[in-house]
Amino acid sequence: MSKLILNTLLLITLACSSSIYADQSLSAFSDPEMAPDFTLQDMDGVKYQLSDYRGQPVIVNFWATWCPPCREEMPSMERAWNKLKDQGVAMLAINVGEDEDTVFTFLGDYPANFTILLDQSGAISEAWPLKGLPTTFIVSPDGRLVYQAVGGREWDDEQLLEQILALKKQ
Amino acid sequence: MTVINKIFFILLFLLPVITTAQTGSITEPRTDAATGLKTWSLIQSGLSLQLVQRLPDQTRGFYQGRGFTKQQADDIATACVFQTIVKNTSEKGAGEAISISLKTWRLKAINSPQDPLDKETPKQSIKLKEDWAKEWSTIKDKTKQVKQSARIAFKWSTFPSEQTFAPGGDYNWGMISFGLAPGTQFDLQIVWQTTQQSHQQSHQQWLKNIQCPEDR
Repeated sequence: MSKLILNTLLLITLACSSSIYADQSLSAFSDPEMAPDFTLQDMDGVKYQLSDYRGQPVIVNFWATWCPPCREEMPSMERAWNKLKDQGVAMLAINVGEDEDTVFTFLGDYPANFTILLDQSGAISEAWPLKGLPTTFIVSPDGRLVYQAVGGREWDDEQLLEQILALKKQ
Repeated sequence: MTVINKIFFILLFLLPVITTAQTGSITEPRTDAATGLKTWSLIQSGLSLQLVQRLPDQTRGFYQGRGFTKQQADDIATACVFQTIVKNTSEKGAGEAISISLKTWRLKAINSPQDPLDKETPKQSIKLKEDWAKEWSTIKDKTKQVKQSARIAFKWSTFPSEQTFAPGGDYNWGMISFGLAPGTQFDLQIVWQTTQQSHQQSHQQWLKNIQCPEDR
């Protein structure tokens, strides 16, 4: 009887928790194409070019300060960056359409030590295959779009990070 | 019957309720205790949809803060705007991709005192972001044209007209303007496609008696 109770409890737990696990995955592109290259500036005016990162996986996140799920995932991106920064993975978060002052003020509340870039004209966001914010792409070491996450994630999730780190071995 | 047996039978009784809650269906509108704003929800065939009322003042403030003039922000704010959240609730591996096209959604106003619908065509389409952009492109007066920064904010803050959500947690937030006057009640036909291993299936459901937020 107690075994039956345990099994029932396990079933209920799985039924309740499946949506939590479902939140943390990346979708693979079936036919990975080259990521559109870009050159963007950070808030100090330093230029960054995507193609300079060949040879390592790159996380490219598109976001805005007014977007609730973007704000929600930002702390987990910082935690993920702390785990990844010494492991040969780059993280570029591209703000869409806002000015330096807005982004600067936002980062006072949401500290980020990874690279924040500004796409004030929206031209880069137009060139990438995204429909909404946040959307995050994983670029392989050879510059192809291999995974995407539509909507926010808990970026410091170990399984999710393993998928990204596995790209280094390919 | 021991206490543990009682708990077991209660849990056994609750199991189908819990699992159904995940695959569920339409729920009664929920009212936020603090704001009084209502949310309509649909959970069906892997799709989770929430439509949350936005007060016209919220939308006015949002767009005026991003480069729209008072008049331009007012036009959007009084077009029955809802914050919309769409999520694919199915698990990676076992689940199906979900595609939506707002172009296929239809609405039917129930009462529209300020802007009555043509009786010959009771169903109408959603006012998409492309429809707004087309309107703005016809403005000749330079002082009334919509700024580039405002257009960018509008593009990314409104829900995409077409989008696909992979299983495993894909979701999106964005505003949808239904193009109806404040206070109008309407029924909304939601259409979506599920795809698994090239097998496509179309689904549809009506959400009834949705209410455009009042301009208070």
